[in-house]
Amino acid sequence: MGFYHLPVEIVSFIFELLDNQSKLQSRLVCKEWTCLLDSHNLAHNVVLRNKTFKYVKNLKSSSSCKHFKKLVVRGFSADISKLAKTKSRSPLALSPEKLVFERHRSRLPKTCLEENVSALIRLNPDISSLVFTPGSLNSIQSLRVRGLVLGHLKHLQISVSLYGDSESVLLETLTRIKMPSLTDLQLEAGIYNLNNFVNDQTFIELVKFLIAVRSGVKKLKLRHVLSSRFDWHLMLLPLTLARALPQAELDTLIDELASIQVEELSLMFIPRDGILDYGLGLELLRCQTNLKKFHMEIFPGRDSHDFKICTKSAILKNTETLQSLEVSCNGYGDRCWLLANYIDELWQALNYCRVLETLDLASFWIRRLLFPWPETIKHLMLGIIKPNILSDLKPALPRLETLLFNGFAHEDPPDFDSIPRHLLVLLSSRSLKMIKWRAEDENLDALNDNPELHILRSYELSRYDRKYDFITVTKIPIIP
Amino acid sequence: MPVVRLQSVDGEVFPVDVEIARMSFAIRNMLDDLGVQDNDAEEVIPLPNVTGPILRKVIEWCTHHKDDPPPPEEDDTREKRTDDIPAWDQEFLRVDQAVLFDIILAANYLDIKGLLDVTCKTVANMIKGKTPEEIRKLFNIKNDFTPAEEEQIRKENEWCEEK
Repeated sequence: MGFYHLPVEIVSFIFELLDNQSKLQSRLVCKEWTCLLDSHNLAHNVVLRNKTFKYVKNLKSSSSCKHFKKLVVRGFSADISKLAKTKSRSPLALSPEKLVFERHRSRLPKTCLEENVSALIRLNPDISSLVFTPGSLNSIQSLRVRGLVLGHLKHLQISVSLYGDSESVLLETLTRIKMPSLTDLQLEAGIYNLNNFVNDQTFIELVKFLIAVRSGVKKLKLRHVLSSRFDWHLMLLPLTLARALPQAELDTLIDELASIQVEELSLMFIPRDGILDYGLGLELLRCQTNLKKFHMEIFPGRDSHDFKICTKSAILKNTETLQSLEVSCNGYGDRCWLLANYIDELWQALNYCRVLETLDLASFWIRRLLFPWPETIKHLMLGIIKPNILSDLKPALPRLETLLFNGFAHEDPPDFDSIPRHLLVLLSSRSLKMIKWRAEDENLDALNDNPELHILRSYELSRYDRKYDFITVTKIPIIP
Repeated sequence: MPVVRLQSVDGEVFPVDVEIARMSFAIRNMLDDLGVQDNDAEEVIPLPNVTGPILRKVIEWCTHHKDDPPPPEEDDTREKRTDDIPAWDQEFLRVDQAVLFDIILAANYLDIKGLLDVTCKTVANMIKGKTPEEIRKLFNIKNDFTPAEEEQIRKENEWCEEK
């Protein structure tokens, strides 16, 4: 009696109980496990690759899987023309909630891929989410989607990495799919190798696409995707200004952009040649008056004056509705100081916010508290802080429930001894439920003895496989 | 308390309270199909896939858990926990690997969800945090990758990390 006696559905069930890291380790055990994990990845997530095709084909008839969350298609080039014809009875009509096309690394016959992308979308028209991840559109010239209606599609995510015209054609094709329920749109422009630049034309195509599908869109995310493997300095390419366009055409685009009103907006700003040149992204931001969630990702540049004014006025235009604000600063840590004053200025605008509950400033060093804070804040994320900020937060934020931060500042002299004292002050706040931070060698003996506090040490892996330790202190609710 | 008799593949017969036997959906269906009356104590239900020692373990588990509340509705979106195995179950499942797998098969065949959950969680915990080589050794699995294939999977894993 050994592991290999267990039926496939039980092995799959066991795999579903594993965390991601263990799943990845388990992929390396033997071929059988690799295929099983790839076909039953996560809770009813199916990965369709040439290697897993034979498993996926039998999934629908196997009793253990009744509905599928996510169908991930990764470099899948097998001929499915026969399976595609039977429509709803096809074993590939899995009715997942989410259909994801991923980047394929190996060179595969183009035509097969295109046919398969079209066929898989057609076979699964009930999806609520459709994603083309970075690089997945590279070799697709045109999809056959004429007359297609995706009635339940809410979320559409497209990443382009253009170096030819193929993706413009594709974007244009996608506008011909009817998506009456679309509310949530994420458009990304990416650079995946150094010979493969995103140019202005790509962005214009993305903006045109946005304008074509804009009605109904409530959540909008526009961003660059940067491959982690190359030097950031080489990546400071523009997403945002369409210099390639004649002025009249640009004006029309801006007018059309002004008609887009969303509730959630996420923008990434990147300087061109070191000078900030935010163009169309700022135009879009300028006309928002109903924002509930706003996320800015900034690559600091030498001159950010316009940008500061524009984001500040955007916050001021949305003080009645803005519930969540996240400002993250990308790039090297030593560049963040360029924005230190920016946070001070932002604060003046924040004070007018009436319903702000979530504030994420995790990219920034917080050296001192800027008073007064919007008292409505419940969830706060900060970068590196000085320990005394913990005590100062208690009177400043009477409704604070969760605080996350990136650790304590190593200043001279270090102030580590005072950490437990300041933590206890903040923890005595009635509303506070949880504090979590990136740990070093803080001595928390003073907290360990407190029966009302639960202290958990954990670690998380960063994108670069660096291991970070975290400490989470939770208050145990007292049962009367 | 009415009793049913369960017969293992090796001929051993176990008298079991109906309420405990009905924790197995397979037996529950059989009883319903057979229309077994409460006082029909002579009825013997053959279980051709379960041996006596394993059936004894299964009955022991069901007896201990007979008053458990029904399990909560499953929430598929959350990552499933495996650190919530009750102490009694942990002790109960401290058995040879082969026995553990036999209990899993029996729980699957008899359709006893709670027992299947707790045994699969136990196996998942055995896998968690181990290297591929440790896992192979644990379950006596042969490494059938060529070095090149293994390298390929490692590379793919790096890609998966980002998700």
